[in-house]
Parts: sequence; structure tokens; C-alpha cells
Amino acid sequence: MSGTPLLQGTLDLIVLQLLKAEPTNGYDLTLRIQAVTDRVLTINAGSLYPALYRLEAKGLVKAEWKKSETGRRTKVYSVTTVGAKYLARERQGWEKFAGALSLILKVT
Amino acid sequence: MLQRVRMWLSALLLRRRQEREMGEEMGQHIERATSRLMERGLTRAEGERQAHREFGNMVFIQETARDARGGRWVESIGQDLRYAMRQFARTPLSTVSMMIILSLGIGASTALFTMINSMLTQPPPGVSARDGLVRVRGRMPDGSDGLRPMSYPEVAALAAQRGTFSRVAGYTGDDVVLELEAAEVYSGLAWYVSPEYFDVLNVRPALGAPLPAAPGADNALVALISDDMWREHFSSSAAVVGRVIRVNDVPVTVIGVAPADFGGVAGNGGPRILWLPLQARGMTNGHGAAFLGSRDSTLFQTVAQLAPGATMERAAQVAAGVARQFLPADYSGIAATSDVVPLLDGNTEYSSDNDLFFEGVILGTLCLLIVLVTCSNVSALLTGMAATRRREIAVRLAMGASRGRVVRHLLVESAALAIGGGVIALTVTTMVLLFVRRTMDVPLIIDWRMGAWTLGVALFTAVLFGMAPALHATRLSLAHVLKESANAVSGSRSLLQRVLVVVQVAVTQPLLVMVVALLVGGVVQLRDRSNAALNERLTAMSFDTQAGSAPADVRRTEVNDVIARIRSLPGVVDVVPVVYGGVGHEVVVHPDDRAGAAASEVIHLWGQYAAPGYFALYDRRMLAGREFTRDDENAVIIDAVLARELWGAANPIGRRFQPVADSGAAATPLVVVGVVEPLPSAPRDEPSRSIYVHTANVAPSSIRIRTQGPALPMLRTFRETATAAAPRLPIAGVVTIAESEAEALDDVMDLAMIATGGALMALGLAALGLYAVIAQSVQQRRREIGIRSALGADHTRVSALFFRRGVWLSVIGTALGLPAGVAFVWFMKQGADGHLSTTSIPLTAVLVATAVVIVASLASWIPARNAARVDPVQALRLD
Repeated sequence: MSGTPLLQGTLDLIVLQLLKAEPTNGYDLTLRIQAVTDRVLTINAGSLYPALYRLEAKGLVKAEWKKSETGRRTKVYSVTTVGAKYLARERQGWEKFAGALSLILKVT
Repeated sequence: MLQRVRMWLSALLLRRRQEREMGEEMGQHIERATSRLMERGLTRAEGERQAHREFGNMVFIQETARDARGGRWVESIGQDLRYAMRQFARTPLSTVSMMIILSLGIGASTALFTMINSMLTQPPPGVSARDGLVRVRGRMPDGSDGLRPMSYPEVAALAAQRGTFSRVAGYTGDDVVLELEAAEVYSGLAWYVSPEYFDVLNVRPALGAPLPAAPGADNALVALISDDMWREHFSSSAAVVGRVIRVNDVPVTVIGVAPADFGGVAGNGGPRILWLPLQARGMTNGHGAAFLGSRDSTLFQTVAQLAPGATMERAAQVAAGVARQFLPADYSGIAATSDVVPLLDGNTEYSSDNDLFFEGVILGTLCLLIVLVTCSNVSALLTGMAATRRREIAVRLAMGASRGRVVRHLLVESAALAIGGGVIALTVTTMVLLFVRRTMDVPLIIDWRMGAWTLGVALFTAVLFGMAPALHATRLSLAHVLKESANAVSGSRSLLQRVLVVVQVAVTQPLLVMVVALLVGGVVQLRDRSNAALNERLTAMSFDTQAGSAPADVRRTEVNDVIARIRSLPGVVDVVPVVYGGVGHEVVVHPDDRAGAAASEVIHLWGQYAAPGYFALYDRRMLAGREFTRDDENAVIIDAVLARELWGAANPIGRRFQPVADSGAAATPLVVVGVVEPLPSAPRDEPSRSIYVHTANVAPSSIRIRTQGPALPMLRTFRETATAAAPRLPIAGVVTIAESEAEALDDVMDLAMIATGGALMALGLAALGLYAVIAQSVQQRRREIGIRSALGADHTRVSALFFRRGVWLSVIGTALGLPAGVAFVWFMKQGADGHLSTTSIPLTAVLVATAVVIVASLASWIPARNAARVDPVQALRLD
């Protein structure tokens, strides 16, 4: 992983959020993360695929083989209803945490 | 949870596809990264290298992804299984023999379980199991096993305890005389039941209407009849409903037929059972309805349904409280009580908990022994196999497999074997039990519990037989193993194997001892019945003198009429009444008659009833004096053994026994009128000495007819003559002694066959185990044998090496197991009430020990002989 190291647990959040925005395959997901974060976060395959498989095992995302625009078979991940609920809950928690953290950092 | 199970399932079933898809997905990732890099001007080769670098270690990532996906353990057990299958394929002979041993052992335990399950845990046939279905049993004071019947007021008082019992039913049975078709009477069993009886049991008639609560206004009686009676006497015709039969001469209308398997809740009641309302009892026996109102008429057994929320303990307290209030007058001073037990088939009103316990212990012990023999057997084989796989196991351990992983792998192998054996066992046992249930009419319950039990035993045995060899095989040092030859196994390492062989030989003993004791007992019994020519000319005709309401003297007259009529038939030599049982006497030899060896101490004599002509009937010679005559009073006949013991060579005729004053018997002396030759094999351990006393005042329930020729063609004539002489006397049976002996022989042979089968199986298992262990050890020590032969050891000595070992193991096993076996048979005897002969136990022990050692010697001899055939050149060339 290059760039800023990821906080524990945030990878799931990132993956879920991006997949919720648009279902896609693993490779495009890495590109998307780089693009969205202005290359601050780079997530390599070694972290991404285990995360995707773990989320799939938990039933938070589901995977389907679909034909891509180029006509090739590709595995497309999307967020399940359970995943969406989980994301909403985690996001709330995260926002609280981030708010608290920025308050602390403002203390001089 | 559901999600996780789905993952495990797909890990197990879709593993190949998942792997393929993962490869495809990651391959695509690299390919697309490559083309992106090529767009930036890199060559394909450079692009691919760069993409791979960015992606990272593919194997590692895939491994991490698999972990993340979950279900890894399922997968690795799958691997273990595949590995196990390959291992089995490599050693088909050992695998097949272990499979056979396991399926025999597990199958036997399943069969025993089914017996226990059917007898001890299920309600009587025809009654479906339900929570809260109980017997309320009257008991004698705490600490005694005795049970007491209840009076109807007590039953009614229980029924009034609505908070504890939602329904209570009392019932009482009588032997009755049935007239089903004109001119022929039978004995039958009538149950007089209270209105709730069929509701408590939840039994509905298969045909016709349920029993009404009480007789109608016109006092017309109605009855339900049993399925057996319906088939046998009414040809299964629906027209039976409305037919009028006579019960003790009282007309009763049949209103329905009970379901086929239902025969009441009090055990096997015979082929003719009927149920009538309680009040009918007073009308059929002519004694009126007083029995329903009196505390002293203790006639009833009770079944009940507990009220919702009532516990068995609470119900027992309530029932005990009721018992205290309703004890009959003659119970004063007796602290009788009641208990409440589940309504089970094995739990009849007369059996105590001890009986159940006893049956459970015997069957359970058998079951445990069989499972232990099986386990130690397979264990010994596996230990042997693991010993030859030491090198492989050592290499796996060296390459980083944890000991736990290797142990698990070996256990999965065991489990696969056990489950395979279990499936075979379950299939075969189910088929056999279904067959037995159909052909022998044994009420066996064959349901899912059997499958659950088999699976449980299979897994239990897998752990039991697999654990020791697995731990043993993995406890080794790599360097040590790799250094030594793969074929050499030193003595200490096969210690476990030897212990296992000793254990199985030891646990086989109780089984064998028991079986041989049964067989020897049976043979001894059969030897007594040797006079086949006489048996063909003897007929036993028995009567149900207790059935119906006729008084005893009427019955005696009827039997005497029958005797007189049959005696006058052509071809009949004599007819003699027979009374089973007898009467005990405590006597001293009369003071004036003590010449000879007779001493003055009290002797206990068992007086067996005999009628005039009794000894001639059986061709037993009178050695002195005469048989009884009609007018004999206080006469006794003794056998020659007792005569010699008491009076030596002196003449015993006319000598007297003086009853001991406080024994309660009349003080009139008993006079010896005859001496008869002793029975060829009098039981040696009889508690008291036998004499014969006159039957004069006892009503006979059976007669013996001796004919000049074979009696078989005359049976019909006998029956017709008897019916003509005493039309109201039910005949229980007419058979020649030869027939009933043959039947008894069949029973003994059936039992003997089953027992022998079991014993041979156990012995065979032990022998197979010993054979396999010795054969394996020969195989493992080929190299050593080769060296010995090459150095000039002769063949006999090489064989002797292995042979001695096999015999030794079996001798140790026998020495350990035989005392346990003898103890077990002694224990059984306590409950078998003398069905087993004590004298046969030492003989049995010797027979069993000899047989085991001979079989073990044979089992060791075959592989030991093979050891001598090892070609040194071949053996040393190996490896």
C-alpha cells in the first residue's frame, strides 16, 4: 500500500460506500478508490480481494458474473440490503468519531 | 448463521468452481492493469511484470481471500477425506476388514439399542407416546418392591384430583369363559374398564363404536373385542358388530374391534381379549356391583393423564396422600403408598423398577462389550497401519504440519471408516429387524432414533478407536524415524497394539461364557427329555379351571367326568390328572422309625403332587411298595436316593415323617407307601428334597392321556369327548408331549442360534483382530526375518516367534476376562431364577478358555507360518 495507511476497519466502509454508488468489478474498484481520493489512498489487490470475499461471506455484498461492455465475463459486486443498512450504521458511527476527533485536534 | 452454513456448503460442494472463478477474476485484474500500462507505452512483457508487481503475491492473496471467505475447515476436512480415500484405496484389504468389523459391531449395538428402546422406553403396543401418560401404582411400604392393587374408591379419589390428573382410568381383568360359536367354549381375558380408559390411552376402535361409559338402561352388555379374536373367530368380517357372544353364559353384544396392535396395557393377554364397562363385571361373575363401592375390593390398576403443569413428583405425592386415606381395613399398620411412573411397555404394573434396571444392565453391558471389542479391534489394525506410515507422518510433521493437523487427519480417516461401517450396519440391521418384526411378531420400534443411535455410536467408536493410534503415531521424533528402516518396528512401539489385542480377547469372554452357559443349560435340560417313543404316546390336555365363575368343586367334577369319558375310549391306556406345583413340609423322621442313617434334625421336603397311576404313566418303576390309590390319605412316595439317605439298606415302607409342630401343618404323620426310581438327572442344586404327595383334594388343571399307539391322530377325538363330557369347561390346549417337547426344543434352538451367532461373531472378531495384528507384525519385520533366515535360523523357529506371541496375548486376555465373564453370569443368574444351571458354570469357563486359546492359536498360526516362508533374498532386497 502506498500513500496514507488505512485506519483499521475503514476499508470495509470505503468498499461498501463505493459499491453502493455503483456496482463494479474488483479492478475498477481500485481505480475508483484512487480517483475519488485523489490518489491519497491506494488500495492494492492484496487488501481489496480478501475484503470483498469477507464482505460477501458476511452477506453484505453479493457478486454476479456479468457481460462487460467489451463482451467479457466479469465479476460484478453490489451492496445487498443488509449491506446498505450496515453501511448506514457504520457511517453514522464514523461521522461521530470523525467529529469528535476534529474537536480534539482543535484543542490548543 | 444461515449465511454461514451456505458458505460452508458452497465451500464443500462448489470448491472447484470457486477456485476457478477466483483465478479468473484475479487474472482479469492483471490483464486490465497490463493493458493500462501498455497504453502508457510499456511493452507487453514490461507491462505484465509491472502489473504483477503492483498486484502482489498472487498465491498469498488467494490464500488470504480463501481465509476471508470462511469455511476453510470444511475444505480442509474435505482434503483429509480425499486423502483418506486414497489411503483406503492403497490398502484395500485392511480397509475392507475394518469396515466389516465396524459394521458388525455397530450393527449389533444398533440391534440391542432397538431392543432396549422398544422394551424400556416406549408405551405398550398400540398406545402412542405422549407426555404425562402415566401409571399410578399402589406400592407396599418404602423399601419393598411389592406392588398392591387399588380399590375403586381409591381410583375415584385419584380422579377427583383434577389439578394433578386430568383423566384417570382404572381397570381390572378376569379370566372368562367365552362362547363364540355354538357348542364350543374358550377361555378369554376380559378387561373391565372405567369410562375414561380409552380416552386416557387415546385408543379408538378400528371397527364399530367406542365403549359406552355404562351399560344401557336395559342392562344389555356390550364389548370391544381384540383384533386377534376378530381374525381368528370371526374371519375379520365387518358383520361382527352386533353379534351376540356369551361371556360366562351372559349374552354380550360386540360393538367394535380394537386396533390391530392394541392388546391392553398389561402385557400379552393372549389371543382372546375383550373390553367391557366396569359394571359388566358384577353381571358376568354374578357377584353384583359391590366391588365398586368397597375399599376392601382391591382389584384395580390405574392409568392416568397428568394435568397440564403437573409434575411426576407432585403427582406421586398426591397419589401417596390418596393411598393413605383409602387403604383397605386389613392394611392396618402397613404404611402402603403409591408411585407414579411413565406408562411404558417394560414398566408393567407387576414389574418393579429393579426388573427394568436388570434388563437395562444386561443389554447395556452386551452393547458396551460389543462396541469395545469392535473398537479395540479396529484400533489394533489402525495402530499397525499407522506404524507402517510412520515415515510419511514424520515427513508431514517435518514439513510444518502441526501435530493437531495430522491427528485430525487420522481421525477423519477413522470417522470415514466408522460412518461407512455405520451406513452398512444401519441398512443391514434395519432389514433384519423389519424381517424379525414381520415374521416373529416381535414389537420392535424402528424409527429415526435407530439412525441417530447408529450415527452416534459410529462417531463415538471413531474417536474411541481412532484417538489412541492417532496420538501414538504422531508422537515420534523425525530424525529417529527417518534414520531407521521403514520396515522395522521395535517392540515398544507395538505395545499399544498388543494391549488392544489383550483387551479385546478379554472383553469377548463374558459374551462367550454367557452363551455357552445358555447352551450347556439347554443341552442339560434336553437330555432329561429323552424318551421320544413314550412322548409320542402321551397327550397333555389342559383346562382353564380359573376361567368363569364356576366354583372349584364343580370344576373338579367336570375334570373327573372328562377323565372317565376319555379313559373309556378305545386305544387309551390310562388317564391321570396332573397338578402342577406342590406343597412344602418341615418334618422330622418319626422317633420310632429312626433305624438306619436317619437323624433327628428337621428336614425340608418339597411335596410334589402325584395322582394314582402317575409313575406308571411315565414308565417309572416302583422299587418298593406301591403307587397312590384313590383312598390314600397322608401317604407319600419317596425316591430311592432319599430312601437310601435316610434309612440306608433298611426297608423304608411304612416309616413315617412327623410334621414339625409349629409349621402349621396337621400333626398327622406322613407314611411312606412306595419308593420310586429316581429321575435320571435330578437337579443337584435343589434347595429341598423332593417327595411325592397325593393330589386327592386338589382340583387338577391338566390331564395326561397315555395311548397304545401314537396319540397325534386321536387329538380331535379327545377334544370332542371332553367337550361332550363337560360343555362349560374351557379347554386351554391339547397337544402330545412329543409336540410340546419339539416346541420347547425349537425355542431352545432359536435362542441357541441367536446366542451362538453373537458369540461366534465376537470370537471371530477377536480372532480376526489377532490374525491381522500378527500378520502386520510379520509384514513389518520381514527384513529382520530375512536376516535371521540368512543367518541360518530354521523355519520352525521363525514361525514359533510369532506363534508364541499370538498365543501369549490370547492367554493373557483370557486370564483377565474369564473372571469377569464368570462374575457376569453369576450376576445374570440372580435374575434368571434358576433358568441357568449353576453346575455348568465351571465347565463353561473351561470350555470357553479352551475354545478361545484354540481359535487364537489358529489365528496366529496362519500368519506365523507365512513368516517362515519369507524369502531372505526378497526381504533384504526391499527398500
